[in-house]
Amino acid sequence: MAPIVEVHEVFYHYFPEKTPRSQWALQGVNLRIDPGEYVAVMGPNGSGKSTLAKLLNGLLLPTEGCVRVMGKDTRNAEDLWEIRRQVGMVFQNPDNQIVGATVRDDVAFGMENLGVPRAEMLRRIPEVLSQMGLAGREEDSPHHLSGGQKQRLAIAGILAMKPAVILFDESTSMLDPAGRDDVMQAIQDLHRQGTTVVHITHSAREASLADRLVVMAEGRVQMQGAPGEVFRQGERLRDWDLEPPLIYRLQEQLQKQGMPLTGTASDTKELVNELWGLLSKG
Amino acid sequence: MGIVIEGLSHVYMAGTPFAHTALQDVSLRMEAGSFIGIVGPTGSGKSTLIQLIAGLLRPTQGRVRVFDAVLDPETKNRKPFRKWVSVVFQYPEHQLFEETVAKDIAFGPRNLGLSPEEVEQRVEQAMAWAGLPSELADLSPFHLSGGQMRRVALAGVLAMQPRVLILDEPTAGLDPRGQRELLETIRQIQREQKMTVIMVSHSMEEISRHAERMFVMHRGRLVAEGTPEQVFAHGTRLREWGLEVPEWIVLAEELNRNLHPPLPQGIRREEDLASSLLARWKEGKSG
Ligand SMILES: Nc1ncnc2c1ncn2[C@@H]1O[C@H](COP(=O)(O)OP(=O)(O)OP(=O)(O)O)[C@@H](O)[C@H]1O
Ligand SMILES: Nc1ncnc2c1ncn2[C@@H]1O[C@H](COP(=O)(O)OP(=O)(O)OP(=O)(O)O)[C@@H](O)[C@H]1O
Ligand SMILES: [Mg+2]
Ligand SMILES: [Mg+2]
Repeated sequence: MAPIVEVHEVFYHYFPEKTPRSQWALQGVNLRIDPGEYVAVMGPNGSGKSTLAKLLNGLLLPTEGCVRVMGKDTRNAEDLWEIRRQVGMVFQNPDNQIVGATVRDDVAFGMENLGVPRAEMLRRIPEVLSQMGLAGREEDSPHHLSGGQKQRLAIAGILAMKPAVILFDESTSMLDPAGRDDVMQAIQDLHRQGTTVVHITHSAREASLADRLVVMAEGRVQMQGAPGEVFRQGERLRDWDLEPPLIYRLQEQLQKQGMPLTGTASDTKELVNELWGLLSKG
Repeated sequence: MGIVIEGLSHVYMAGTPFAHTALQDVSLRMEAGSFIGIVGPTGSGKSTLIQLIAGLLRPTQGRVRVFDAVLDPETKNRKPFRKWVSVVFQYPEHQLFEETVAKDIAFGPRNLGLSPEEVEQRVEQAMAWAGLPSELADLSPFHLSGGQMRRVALAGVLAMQPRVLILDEPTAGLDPRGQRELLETIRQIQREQKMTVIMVSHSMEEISRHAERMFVMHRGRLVAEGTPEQVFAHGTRLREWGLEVPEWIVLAEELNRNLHPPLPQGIRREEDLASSLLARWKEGKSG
Protein backbone atom coordinates (compact mmCIF):
# COMPACT_ATOMS: atom_id res chain seq x y z
CA MET A 1 0.00 0.00 0.00
CA ALA A 2 1.33 3.44 -0.90
CA PRO A 3 1.71 5.62 2.19
CA ILE A 4 -0.60 8.63 2.47
CA VAL A 5 2.15 10.64 4.15
CA GLU A 6 5.84 10.12 3.59
CA VAL A 7 8.59 12.04 5.36
CA HIS A 8 12.02 11.35 3.95
CA GLU A 9 15.27 12.48 5.65
CA VAL A 10 13.74 15.79 6.66
CA PHE A 11 15.86 18.48 8.28
CA TYR A 12 14.21 21.71 9.25
CA HIS A 13 14.99 24.92 11.00
CA TYR A 14 13.20 28.24 11.34
CA PHE A 15 16.47 30.16 10.82
CA PRO A 16 18.79 27.62 9.18
CA GLU A 17 21.50 30.19 8.32
CA LYS A 18 21.83 31.45 11.86
CA THR A 19 21.62 28.15 13.69
CA PRO A 20 24.16 25.32 13.88
CA ARG A 21 22.76 22.20 12.30
CA SER A 22 23.03 20.31 15.57
CA GLN A 23 20.34 22.61 16.99
CA TRP A 24 17.88 22.39 14.15
CA ALA A 25 14.30 21.63 15.12
CA LEU A 26 14.23 18.51 12.92
CA GLN A 27 17.32 16.44 12.28
CA GLY A 28 16.65 13.67 9.83
CA VAL A 29 13.08 12.57 10.33
CA ASN A 30 11.78 9.54 8.46
CA LEU A 31 8.17 8.50 8.78
CA ARG A 32 5.57 6.72 6.67
CA ILE A 33 1.91 6.77 7.51
CA ASP A 34 -0.53 4.43 5.80
CA PRO A 35 -3.98 5.53 4.67
CA GLY A 36 -6.44 5.07 7.53
CA GLU A 37 -3.72 4.63 10.12
CA TYR A 38 -4.03 6.16 13.60
CA VAL A 39 -0.67 7.39 14.87
CA ALA A 40 0.07 9.02 18.22
CA VAL A 41 3.16 11.20 18.66
CA MET A 42 4.73 11.87 22.03
CA GLY A 43 7.90 13.74 22.91
CA PRO A 44 9.34 16.29 25.32
CA ASN A 45 8.78 20.04 24.93
CA GLY A 46 10.73 21.43 22.02
CA SER A 47 11.37 18.03 20.43
CA GLY A 48 9.90 19.06 17.08
CA LYS A 49 6.37 17.62 17.15
CA SER A 50 4.50 20.77 16.13
CA THR A 51 7.18 21.56 13.56
CA LEU A 52 6.73 18.12 12.03
CA ALA A 53 2.94 18.57 11.99
CA LYS A 54 3.27 21.87 10.12
CA LEU A 55 5.52 20.20 7.57
CA LEU A 56 2.91 17.51 6.99
CA ASN A 57 0.33 19.98 5.71
CA GLY A 58 2.77 22.19 3.86
CA LEU A 59 2.54 25.09 6.28
CA LEU A 60 6.32 24.75 6.55
CA LEU A 61 8.57 23.36 3.81
CA PRO A 62 11.57 21.14 4.57
CA THR A 63 14.97 22.83 4.68
CA GLU A 64 16.31 19.49 3.43
CA GLY A 65 14.62 16.22 2.47
CA CYS A 66 11.06 15.88 1.32
CA VAL A 67 7.51 15.43 2.51
CA ARG A 68 4.92 13.79 0.26
CA VAL A 69 1.20 13.69 0.84
CA MET A 70 -0.75 11.27 -1.40
CA GLY A 71 2.35 11.17 -3.54
CA LYS A 72 2.49 14.96 -3.95
CA ASP A 73 5.62 16.81 -2.85
CA THR A 74 4.83 19.76 -0.54
CA ARG A 75 7.51 21.80 -2.32
CA ASN A 76 5.40 21.93 -5.50
CA ALA A 77 3.50 25.17 -5.16
CA GLU A 78 0.73 23.99 -7.50
CA ASP A 79 -0.05 20.98 -5.27
CA LEU A 80 -0.04 22.89 -2.02
CA TRP A 81 -3.68 23.91 -2.08
CA GLU A 82 -4.78 20.30 -2.56
CA ILE A 83 -2.42 19.13 0.20
CA ARG A 84 -3.80 21.63 2.71
CA ARG A 85 -7.31 20.61 1.73
CA GLN A 86 -6.51 16.96 2.43
CA VAL A 87 -4.56 17.51 5.63
CA GLY A 88 -6.51 19.36 8.33
CA MET A 89 -4.78 20.56 11.44
CA VAL A 90 -6.09 21.46 14.88
CA PHE A 91 -3.51 23.78 16.40
CA GLN A 92 -2.04 23.68 19.88
CA ASN A 93 -3.60 27.06 20.70
CA PRO A 94 -7.18 27.41 19.41
CA ASP A 95 -6.95 31.21 19.33
CA ASN A 96 -4.69 30.88 16.30
CA GLN A 97 -7.46 29.10 14.51
CA ILE A 98 -10.65 30.91 15.38
CA VAL A 99 -11.69 33.54 12.83
CA GLY A 100 -15.49 33.79 12.68
CA ALA A 101 -17.60 36.39 14.47
CA THR A 102 -19.96 33.71 15.72
CA VAL A 103 -19.55 30.03 16.49
CA ARG A 104 -21.61 29.14 13.39
CA ASP A 105 -19.62 31.44 11.08
CA ASP A 106 -16.41 30.04 12.42
CA VAL A 107 -17.37 26.51 11.45
CA ALA A 108 -18.72 27.71 8.09
CA PHE A 109 -15.53 29.62 7.26
CA GLY A 110 -13.33 26.62 6.44
CA MET A 111 -16.06 24.97 4.40
CA GLU A 112 -16.68 28.17 2.43
CA ASN A 113 -13.01 28.25 1.50
CA LEU A 114 -13.35 24.73 0.16
CA GLY A 115 -16.47 25.63 -1.81
CA VAL A 116 -18.75 23.21 0.05
CA PRO A 117 -22.34 23.73 -1.27
CA ARG A 118 -24.59 25.68 1.06
CA ALA A 119 -27.09 22.87 1.66
CA GLU A 120 -24.26 20.57 2.67
CA MET A 121 -22.83 23.26 4.98
CA LEU A 122 -26.16 23.63 6.72
CA ARG A 123 -26.22 19.90 7.29
CA ARG A 124 -22.68 19.62 8.63
CA ILE A 125 -22.71 22.61 11.01
CA PRO A 126 -25.20 21.24 13.54
CA GLU A 127 -23.66 17.79 13.20
CA VAL A 128 -20.13 18.85 14.20
CA LEU A 129 -21.30 21.34 16.83
CA SER A 130 -23.34 18.72 18.60
CA GLN A 131 -20.50 16.21 18.24
CA MET A 132 -18.26 18.68 20.09
CA GLY A 133 -20.89 19.64 22.68
CA LEU A 134 -21.46 23.17 21.38
CA ALA A 135 -25.09 22.88 20.24
CA GLY A 136 -26.99 25.95 21.44
CA ARG A 137 -23.94 28.23 21.22
CA GLU A 138 -24.28 28.91 17.44
CA GLU A 139 -24.85 32.67 17.80
CA ASP A 140 -22.22 33.31 20.50
CA SER A 141 -19.00 35.11 19.78
CA PRO A 142 -16.03 32.72 20.03
CA HIS A 143 -14.36 35.29 22.32
CA HIS A 144 -17.05 34.67 24.88
CA LEU A 145 -16.30 30.99 25.15
CA SER A 146 -14.28 29.45 27.95
CA GLY A 147 -10.83 28.01 27.18
CA GLY A 148 -12.08 24.46 26.74
CA GLN A 149 -15.05 25.55 24.65
CA LYS A 150 -12.71 27.35 22.22
CA GLN A 151 -10.71 24.19 21.79
CA ARG A 152 -13.89 22.27 20.98
CA LEU A 153 -14.83 24.92 18.41
CA ALA A 154 -11.44 24.67 16.70
CA ILE A 155 -11.92 20.93 16.36
CA ALA A 156 -15.49 21.28 15.07
CA GLY A 157 -14.24 23.61 12.32
CA ILE A 158 -11.75 21.03 11.05
CA LEU A 159 -14.17 18.09 11.32
CA ALA A 160 -16.63 20.00 9.12
CA MET A 161 -14.03 20.18 6.33
CA LYS A 162 -13.75 16.36 6.20
CA PRO A 163 -10.05 16.14 5.32
CA ALA A 164 -8.39 12.77 4.54
CA VAL A 165 -5.78 13.31 7.25
CA ILE A 166 -6.34 15.17 10.52
CA LEU A 167 -3.49 16.33 12.73
CA PHE A 168 -4.44 17.03 16.33
CA ASP A 169 -1.72 19.05 18.07
CA GLU A 170 -2.37 18.66 21.81
CA SER A 171 -6.04 19.24 21.21
CA THR A 172 -7.08 17.81 24.56
CA SER A 173 -4.70 19.62 26.86
CA MET A 174 -7.17 22.29 28.04
CA LEU A 175 -10.23 20.09 28.16
CA ASP A 176 -12.17 18.66 31.05
CA PRO A 177 -12.69 14.88 31.19
CA ALA A 178 -15.94 15.08 29.21
CA GLY A 179 -14.21 17.22 26.58
CA ARG A 180 -11.30 14.84 26.35
CA ASP A 181 -13.68 11.91 26.00
CA ASP A 182 -15.52 13.76 23.21
CA VAL A 183 -12.28 14.42 21.34
CA MET A 184 -11.01 10.88 21.82
CA GLN A 185 -14.40 9.62 20.67
CA ALA A 186 -14.26 11.91 17.63
CA ILE A 187 -10.76 10.63 16.83
CA GLN A 188 -11.88 7.03 17.04
CA ASP A 189 -15.00 7.66 14.95
CA LEU A 190 -12.87 9.38 12.32
CA HIS A 191 -10.42 6.50 12.35
CA ARG A 192 -13.25 3.99 11.95
CA GLN A 193 -14.60 5.96 9.00
CA GLY A 194 -11.21 5.68 7.32
CA THR A 195 -9.68 9.08 8.13
CA THR A 196 -5.96 9.03 8.79
CA VAL A 197 -5.29 10.49 12.24
CA VAL A 198 -2.10 11.88 13.75
CA HIS A 199 -2.50 12.81 17.40
CA ILE A 200 0.25 14.73 19.19
CA THR A 201 -0.27 14.35 22.92
CA HIS A 202 1.51 14.42 26.27
CA SER A 203 -0.99 11.93 27.66
CA ALA A 204 0.29 8.36 27.59
CA ARG A 205 -3.21 7.11 28.25
CA GLU A 206 -4.51 8.82 25.12
CA ALA A 207 -1.54 7.64 23.09
CA SER A 208 -2.25 4.05 24.09
CA LEU A 209 -5.41 4.11 21.92
CA ALA A 210 -3.46 4.57 18.68
CA ASP A 211 -2.35 1.84 16.25
CA ARG A 212 1.20 3.09 16.44
CA LEU A 213 3.11 5.34 18.81
CA VAL A 214 5.97 7.47 17.54
CA VAL A 215 8.34 9.00 20.09
CA MET A 216 10.12 12.17 18.99
CA ALA A 217 13.10 13.63 20.84
CA GLU A 218 15.89 15.93 19.80
CA GLY A 219 14.35 16.41 16.39
CA ARG A 220 14.24 12.73 15.46
CA VAL A 221 12.00 9.69 15.71
CA GLN A 222 13.59 7.80 18.59
CA MET A 223 11.18 4.94 19.14
CA GLN A 224 8.08 3.61 17.42
CA GLY A 225 5.79 0.62 17.56
CA ALA A 226 2.53 -0.61 19.03
CA PRO A 227 1.85 1.54 22.12
CA GLY A 228 2.08 -1.50 24.43
CA GLU A 229 5.54 -2.38 23.11
CA VAL A 230 6.82 1.16 23.54
CA PHE A 231 5.33 1.53 27.03
CA ARG A 232 7.08 -1.60 28.25
CA GLN A 233 10.38 0.24 27.77
CA GLY A 234 9.94 2.58 30.74
CA GLU A 235 13.64 3.29 31.17
CA ARG A 236 14.12 4.46 27.61
CA LEU A 237 10.99 6.60 27.76
CA ARG A 238 12.24 8.31 30.91
CA ASP A 239 15.45 9.19 29.07
CA TRP A 240 13.17 11.39 26.95
CA ASP A 241 11.26 12.88 29.92
CA LEU A 242 8.26 10.70 29.14
CA GLU A 243 6.35 8.18 31.19
CA PRO A 244 4.28 5.11 30.39
CA PRO A 245 0.64 5.02 31.63
CA LEU A 246 -0.23 3.96 35.17
CA ILE A 247 -0.74 0.25 34.55
CA TYR A 248 2.69 -0.10 32.96
CA ARG A 249 4.35 1.99 35.69
CA LEU A 250 2.67 -0.11 38.33
CA GLN A 251 3.72 -3.43 36.78
CA GLU A 252 7.29 -2.18 36.47
CA GLN A 253 7.38 -1.01 40.08
CA LEU A 254 5.81 -4.16 41.53
CA GLN A 255 8.07 -6.44 39.50
CA LYS A 256 11.11 -4.52 40.70
CA GLN A 257 10.01 -5.19 44.28
CA GLY A 258 9.88 -8.90 43.55
CA MET A 259 6.22 -9.47 42.81
CA PRO A 260 5.98 -12.23 40.17
CA LEU A 261 3.82 -10.40 37.62
CA THR A 262 4.13 -11.37 33.95
CA GLY A 263 4.43 -7.70 32.94
CA THR A 264 2.24 -8.35 29.91
CA ALA A 265 -1.04 -6.75 31.04
CA SER A 266 -2.03 -3.99 28.66
CA ASP A 267 -5.24 -2.77 30.27
CA THR A 268 -6.77 -2.36 33.72
CA LYS A 269 -8.83 -5.52 33.42
CA GLU A 270 -5.85 -7.74 32.63
CA LEU A 271 -3.82 -6.27 35.46
CA VAL A 272 -6.65 -6.58 37.97
CA ASN A 273 -7.14 -10.23 37.02
CA GLU A 274 -3.48 -10.97 37.46
CA LEU A 275 -3.35 -9.20 40.82
CA TRP A 276 -6.41 -11.06 42.08
CA GLY A 277 -4.64 -14.32 41.27
CA LEU A 278 -1.51 -13.32 43.17
CA LEU A 279 -3.15 -11.70 46.17
CA SER A 280 -5.75 -14.35 46.86
CA LYS A 281 -3.19 -17.17 47.08
CA GLY A 282 -2.08 -16.39 50.64
CA MET B 1 -7.98 34.23 56.91
CA GLY B 2 -6.35 34.97 53.55
CA ILE B 3 -9.12 35.06 50.97
CA VAL B 4 -12.78 35.39 51.85
CA ILE B 5 -15.49 35.34 49.21
CA GLU B 6 -19.10 36.10 50.09
CA GLY B 7 -22.17 35.79 47.87
CA LEU B 8 -20.13 36.33 44.74
CA SER B 9 -21.91 36.46 41.37
CA HIS B 10 -20.68 37.48 37.97
CA VAL B 11 -22.72 38.20 34.86
CA TYR B 12 -20.88 38.80 31.59
CA MET B 13 -22.39 41.53 29.42
CA ALA B 14 -25.01 42.27 32.02
CA GLY B 15 -27.98 44.24 30.72
CA THR B 16 -27.58 43.07 27.11
CA PRO B 17 -29.39 40.26 25.32
CA PHE B 18 -26.13 38.31 25.62
CA ALA B 19 -26.05 38.47 29.42
CA HIS B 20 -24.51 35.28 30.76
CA THR B 21 -24.34 34.32 34.43
CA ALA B 22 -20.97 32.67 34.88
CA LEU B 23 -20.85 32.65 38.68
CA GLN B 24 -23.74 32.47 41.08
CA ASP B 25 -23.72 33.15 44.80
CA VAL B 26 -20.36 31.63 45.64
CA SER B 27 -19.05 31.85 49.21
CA LEU B 28 -15.78 30.32 50.30
CA ARG B 29 -12.63 30.83 52.36
CA MET B 30 -9.04 30.07 51.49
CA GLU B 31 -6.45 30.03 54.22
CA ALA B 32 -3.31 32.13 53.69
CA GLY B 33 -0.30 30.04 52.74
CA SER B 34 -2.27 26.99 51.64
CA PHE B 35 -2.36 25.13 48.34
CA ILE B 36 -5.87 25.24 46.92
CA GLY B 37 -7.26 23.27 43.99
CA ILE B 38 -10.24 24.41 41.90
CA VAL B 39 -11.89 21.86 39.65
CA GLY B 40 -15.00 21.63 37.51
CA PRO B 41 -16.10 20.97 33.95
CA THR B 42 -15.65 23.35 31.06
CA GLY B 43 -17.66 26.56 31.42
CA SER B 44 -18.29 26.01 35.14
CA GLY B 45 -16.84 29.41 36.08
CA LYS B 46 -13.32 28.57 37.24
CA SER B 47 -11.50 31.17 35.16
CA THR B 48 -14.14 33.74 36.03
CA LEU B 49 -13.67 33.04 39.73
CA ILE B 50 -9.91 33.43 39.65
CA GLN B 51 -10.10 36.61 37.59
CA LEU B 52 -12.31 38.05 40.31
CA ILE B 53 -9.82 37.02 42.99
CA ALA B 54 -7.08 38.72 40.97
CA GLY B 55 -9.17 41.90 40.66
CA LEU B 56 -9.28 41.59 36.88
CA LEU B 57 -13.07 41.50 36.74
CA ARG B 58 -15.58 43.38 38.85
CA PRO B 59 -18.21 41.32 40.68
CA THR B 60 -21.86 41.83 39.72
CA GLN B 61 -22.80 40.97 43.29
CA GLY B 62 -21.06 39.98 46.49
CA ARG B 63 -17.49 40.59 47.52
CA VAL B 64 -13.95 39.28 47.49
CA ARG B 65 -11.51 40.02 50.28
CA VAL B 66 -7.82 39.26 49.74
CA PHE B 67 -5.92 39.95 52.99
CA ASP B 68 -7.20 43.46 53.76
CA ALA B 69 -8.17 44.56 50.26
CA VAL B 70 -11.84 44.39 49.36
CA LEU B 71 -13.43 44.11 45.94
CA ASP B 72 -17.16 44.61 45.48
CA PRO B 73 -19.39 46.01 42.72
CA GLU B 74 -18.49 49.56 43.81
CA THR B 75 -14.70 49.18 44.21
CA LYS B 76 -12.71 51.72 42.16
CA ASN B 77 -9.15 50.97 43.25
CA ARG B 78 -8.10 47.47 42.23
CA LYS B 79 -4.34 48.14 42.58
CA PRO B 80 -3.71 46.14 45.77
CA PHE B 81 -5.03 43.05 43.99
CA ARG B 82 -2.66 43.55 41.08
CA LYS B 83 0.24 43.92 43.47
CA TRP B 84 -0.40 40.85 45.58
CA VAL B 85 -2.04 38.47 43.21
CA SER B 86 -0.41 37.12 40.05
CA VAL B 87 -2.07 34.91 37.52
CA VAL B 88 -0.68 32.51 34.96
CA PHE B 89 -3.49 32.33 32.43
CA GLN B 90 -4.87 29.34 30.66
CA TYR B 91 -3.15 30.32 27.40
CA PRO B 92 -0.11 32.11 28.82
CA GLU B 93 1.38 32.59 25.36
CA HIS B 94 -0.72 35.75 25.27
CA GLN B 95 1.14 37.09 28.27
CA LEU B 96 4.44 37.19 26.37
CA PHE B 97 5.51 40.37 24.63
CA GLU B 98 9.19 41.23 25.12
CA GLU B 99 12.02 40.68 22.63
CA THR B 100 13.84 38.05 24.61
CA VAL B 101 12.92 35.41 27.13
CA ALA B 102 15.06 37.06 29.84
CA LYS B 103 13.52 40.50 29.26
CA ASP B 104 10.06 39.03 29.34
CA ILE B 105 10.68 37.42 32.71
CA ALA B 106 12.38 40.58 34.02
CA PHE B 107 9.40 42.79 33.20
CA GLY B 108 7.44 42.12 36.39
CA PRO B 109 10.31 42.35 38.89
CA ARG B 110 11.59 45.51 37.19
CA ASN B 111 8.18 47.10 37.70
CA LEU B 112 8.37 46.21 41.37
CA GLY B 113 11.28 48.65 41.58
CA LEU B 114 14.00 46.09 42.31
CA SER B 115 17.64 46.85 41.56
CA PRO B 116 19.09 45.51 38.27
CA GLU B 117 21.12 42.90 40.20
CA GLU B 118 18.08 41.73 42.09
CA VAL B 119 16.09 41.58 38.87
CA GLU B 120 18.79 39.51 37.22
CA GLN B 121 18.90 37.17 40.17
CA ARG B 122 15.12 36.78 40.14
CA VAL B 123 15.20 35.99 36.42
CA GLU B 124 17.83 33.31 36.85
CA GLN B 125 15.99 31.82 39.79
CA ALA B 126 12.65 31.87 38.00
CA MET B 127 14.08 30.23 34.87
CA ALA B 128 15.46 27.43 37.00
CA TRP B 129 12.11 27.04 38.80
CA ALA B 130 10.27 26.81 35.50
CA GLY B 131 12.74 24.31 34.05
CA LEU B 132 14.00 26.62 31.31
CA PRO B 133 17.55 25.95 30.09
CA SER B 134 19.66 29.13 30.29
CA GLU B 135 20.46 28.89 26.54
CA LEU B 136 16.94 30.12 25.85
CA ALA B 137 17.44 33.42 27.75
CA ASP B 138 18.33 35.49 24.69
CA LEU B 139 15.87 33.95 22.22
CA SER B 140 12.60 35.57 21.25
CA PRO B 141 9.75 34.04 23.26
CA PHE B 142 7.82 33.78 20.00
CA HIS B 143 10.41 31.39 18.62
CA LEU B 144 9.72 28.73 21.18
CA SER B 145 7.64 25.57 21.24
CA GLY B 146 4.24 25.61 22.97
CA GLY B 147 5.56 24.04 26.16
CA GLN B 148 8.58 26.34 26.27
CA MET B 149 6.35 29.44 25.95
CA ARG B 150 4.26 28.19 28.82
CA ARG B 151 7.35 27.89 30.97
CA VAL B 152 8.39 31.46 30.12
CA ALA B 153 5.00 32.82 31.15
CA LEU B 154 5.22 30.86 34.38
CA ALA B 155 8.73 32.08 35.07
CA GLY B 156 7.58 35.69 34.55
CA VAL B 157 4.98 35.29 37.26
CA LEU B 158 7.20 33.31 39.64
CA ALA B 159 9.82 36.07 39.37
CA MET B 160 7.33 38.48 40.97
CA GLN B 161 7.13 36.27 44.07
CA PRO B 162 3.50 37.28 44.66
CA ARG B 163 1.62 36.62 47.92
CA VAL B 164 -1.08 34.82 46.00
CA LEU B 165 -0.16 32.79 42.94
CA ILE B 166 -2.99 31.70 40.69
CA LEU B 167 -2.36 29.06 38.07
CA ASP B 168 -4.99 28.28 35.44
CA GLU B 169 -4.12 24.81 34.11
CA PRO B 170 -0.40 25.31 34.64
CA THR B 171 0.77 21.96 33.35
CA ALA B 172 -1.28 21.72 30.15
CA GLY B 173 1.17 21.38 27.30
CA LEU B 174 4.14 20.34 29.44
CA ASP B 175 5.79 16.97 28.96
CA PRO B 176 5.23 14.45 31.79
CA ARG B 177 8.48 15.20 33.53
CA GLY B 178 7.88 18.94 33.17
CA GLN B 179 4.43 18.54 34.72
CA ARG B 180 5.72 16.67 37.72
CA GLU B 181 8.73 18.88 38.33
CA LEU B 182 6.85 22.13 37.93
CA LEU B 183 4.29 21.24 40.57
CA GLU B 184 6.92 19.98 42.96
CA THR B 185 8.77 23.26 42.54
CA ILE B 186 5.64 25.32 43.10
CA ARG B 187 4.87 23.29 46.18
CA GLN B 188 8.33 23.99 47.49
CA ILE B 189 8.15 27.73 46.75
CA GLN B 190 4.73 27.84 48.39
CA ARG B 191 6.15 26.35 51.59
CA GLU B 192 9.33 28.43 51.62
CA GLN B 193 7.67 31.74 50.83
CA LYS B 194 4.37 31.02 52.61
CA MET B 195 2.68 31.80 49.34
CA THR B 196 -1.00 31.06 48.79
CA VAL B 197 -1.35 28.98 45.65
CA ILE B 198 -4.63 28.54 43.80
CA MET B 199 -4.49 26.03 41.00
CA VAL B 200 -7.20 25.32 38.46
CA SER B 201 -6.74 21.87 37.00
CA HIS B 202 -8.62 19.14 35.19
CA SER B 203 -6.15 16.62 36.52
CA MET B 204 -7.42 14.97 39.68
CA GLU B 205 -4.06 13.32 39.87
CA GLU B 206 -2.32 16.67 40.35
CA ILE B 207 -4.98 17.96 42.70
CA SER B 208 -4.94 14.89 44.92
CA ARG B 209 -1.18 14.95 45.10
CA HIS B 210 -0.72 18.63 45.92
CA ALA B 211 -3.87 20.44 47.06
CA GLU B 212 -4.56 20.76 50.77
CA ARG B 213 -8.10 21.82 50.05
CA MET B 214 -10.21 21.70 46.93
CA PHE B 215 -13.32 23.41 45.61
CA VAL B 216 -15.64 21.90 43.01
CA MET B 217 -17.44 24.26 40.63
CA HIS B 218 -20.45 23.20 38.58
CA ARG B 219 -22.56 25.51 36.41
CA GLY B 220 -21.34 28.63 38.18
CA ARG B 221 -21.96 27.32 41.67
CA LEU B 222 -19.74 25.87 44.34
CA VAL B 223 -21.01 22.31 44.82
CA ALA B 224 -18.40 20.72 47.10
CA GLU B 225 -15.28 21.50 49.08
CA GLY B 226 -12.89 19.74 51.40
CA THR B 227 -9.63 17.85 51.37
CA PRO B 228 -9.10 15.74 48.24
CA GLU B 229 -9.93 12.61 50.29
CA GLN B 230 -13.22 14.13 51.41
CA VAL B 231 -14.17 15.21 47.91
CA PHE B 232 -13.17 11.92 46.26
CA ALA B 233 -15.32 10.11 48.84
CA HIS B 234 -18.38 11.52 47.04
CA GLY B 235 -18.02 8.59 44.61
CA THR B 236 -20.59 8.63 41.82
CA ARG B 237 -21.44 12.31 42.44
CA LEU B 238 -17.98 13.12 41.07
CA ARG B 239 -18.99 11.88 37.67
CA GLU B 240 -22.20 13.95 37.81
CA TRP B 241 -20.04 17.01 38.42
CA GLY B 242 -17.98 16.14 35.37
CA LEU B 243 -14.90 15.13 37.35
CA GLU B 244 -12.67 12.23 36.72
CA VAL B 245 -11.71 9.88 39.51
CA PRO B 246 -7.92 9.41 39.63
CA GLU B 247 -6.84 6.30 37.78
CA TRP B 248 -5.34 4.55 40.78
CA ILE B 249 -8.54 5.00 42.76
CA VAL B 250 -10.44 3.38 39.89
CA LEU B 251 -7.94 0.53 39.91
CA ALA B 252 -8.16 0.14 43.70
CA GLU B 253 -11.98 0.10 43.53
CA GLU B 254 -11.85 -2.50 40.79
CA LEU B 255 -9.46 -4.68 42.83
CA ASN B 256 -11.62 -4.33 45.93
CA ARG B 257 -14.52 -6.05 44.21
CA ASN B 258 -12.66 -9.27 44.81
CA LEU B 259 -10.35 -8.60 47.75
CA HIS B 260 -11.34 -9.42 51.32
CA PRO B 261 -10.61 -7.42 53.34
CA PRO B 262 -10.42 -4.54 50.84
CA LEU B 263 -7.33 -2.35 50.38
CA PRO B 264 -7.10 0.40 53.02
CA GLN B 265 -8.88 3.74 52.46
CA GLY B 266 -7.03 6.97 51.74
CA ILE B 267 -4.98 5.92 48.73
CA ARG B 268 -3.97 9.39 47.65
CA ARG B 269 -1.25 8.68 45.17
CA GLU B 270 0.05 6.00 42.94
CA GLU B 271 2.86 5.11 45.35
CA ASP B 272 0.27 4.37 48.06
CA LEU B 273 -1.42 1.86 45.79
CA ALA B 274 1.86 0.17 44.91
CA SER B 275 2.94 -0.08 48.53
CA SER B 276 -0.38 -1.41 49.78
CA LEU B 277 -0.37 -4.04 47.03
CA LEU B 278 3.15 -5.07 47.97
CA ALA B 279 2.28 -5.23 51.65
CA ARG B 280 -0.73 -7.38 50.87
CA TRP B 281 1.31 -9.71 48.69
CA LYS B 282 4.04 -10.15 51.32
CA GLU B 283 1.42 -10.84 53.97
CA GLY B 284 -0.08 -13.52 51.77
CA LYS B 285 3.31 -15.16 51.16
CA SER B 286 4.27 -15.34 54.80
CA GLY B 287 0.79 -16.05 56.19
N1 LIG C 1 8.29 29.96 15.27
C1 LIG C 1 9.48 29.50 15.63
N2 LIG C 1 10.61 30.19 15.34
C2 LIG C 1 11.83 29.73 15.70
N3 LIG C 1 12.04 28.57 16.37
C3 LIG C 1 10.97 27.84 16.69
C4 LIG C 1 9.63 28.26 16.35
N4 LIG C 1 8.76 27.33 16.79
C5 LIG C 1 9.51 26.36 17.40
N5 LIG C 1 10.82 26.67 17.34
C6 LIG C 1 11.93 25.85 17.90
O1 LIG C 1 11.92 24.59 17.25
C7 LIG C 1 12.10 23.51 18.18
C8 LIG C 1 10.95 22.53 18.05
O2 LIG C 1 9.74 23.18 18.41
P1 LIG C 1 8.30 22.50 18.28
O3 LIG C 1 7.31 23.58 18.45
O4 LIG C 1 8.24 21.69 17.04
O5 LIG C 1 8.34 21.52 19.55
P2 LIG C 1 7.20 20.59 20.15
O6 LIG C 1 7.74 19.19 20.15
O7 LIG C 1 5.91 20.81 19.46
O8 LIG C 1 7.15 21.07 21.68
P3 LIG C 1 5.90 21.29 22.70
O9 LIG C 1 5.64 19.96 23.34
O10 LIG C 1 6.47 22.23 23.70
O11 LIG C 1 4.76 21.85 21.93
C9 LIG C 1 12.22 24.17 19.56
O12 LIG C 1 13.57 24.20 19.92
C10 LIG C 1 11.69 25.57 19.38
O13 LIG C 1 12.39 26.47 20.22
N1 LIG D 1 -15.68 37.25 28.18
C1 LIG D 1 -16.82 36.55 28.26
N2 LIG D 1 -17.98 37.04 27.81
C2 LIG D 1 -19.12 36.33 27.88
N3 LIG D 1 -19.23 35.10 28.43
C3 LIG D 1 -18.11 34.56 28.91
C4 LIG D 1 -16.84 35.23 28.86
N4 LIG D 1 -15.89 34.44 29.41
C5 LIG D 1 -16.54 33.31 29.79
N5 LIG D 1 -17.86 33.37 29.51
C6 LIG D 1 -18.87 32.32 29.77
O1 LIG D 1 -18.96 32.15 31.18
C7 LIG D 1 -19.00 30.75 31.52
C8 LIG D 1 -17.88 30.44 32.49
O2 LIG D 1 -16.64 30.59 31.82
P1 LIG D 1 -15.22 30.33 32.48
O3 LIG D 1 -14.19 30.82 31.50
O4 LIG D 1 -15.19 30.89 33.85
O5 LIG D 1 -15.23 28.72 32.53
P2 LIG D 1 -14.09 27.70 33.02
O6 LIG D 1 -14.67 26.94 34.17
O7 LIG D 1 -12.82 28.41 33.23
O8 LIG D 1 -14.01 26.69 31.76
P3 LIG D 1 -12.74 25.97 31.05
O9 LIG D 1 -12.42 24.74 31.85
O10 LIG D 1 -13.26 25.58 29.70
O11 LIG D 1 -11.63 26.95 30.96
C9 LIG D 1 -18.92 29.97 30.21
O12 LIG D 1 -20.21 29.48 29.86
C10 LIG D 1 -18.43 30.97 29.19
O13 LIG D 1 -19.01 30.75 27.93
MG1 LIG E 1 4.06 21.68 20.08
MG1 LIG F 1 -11.00 28.43 32.14
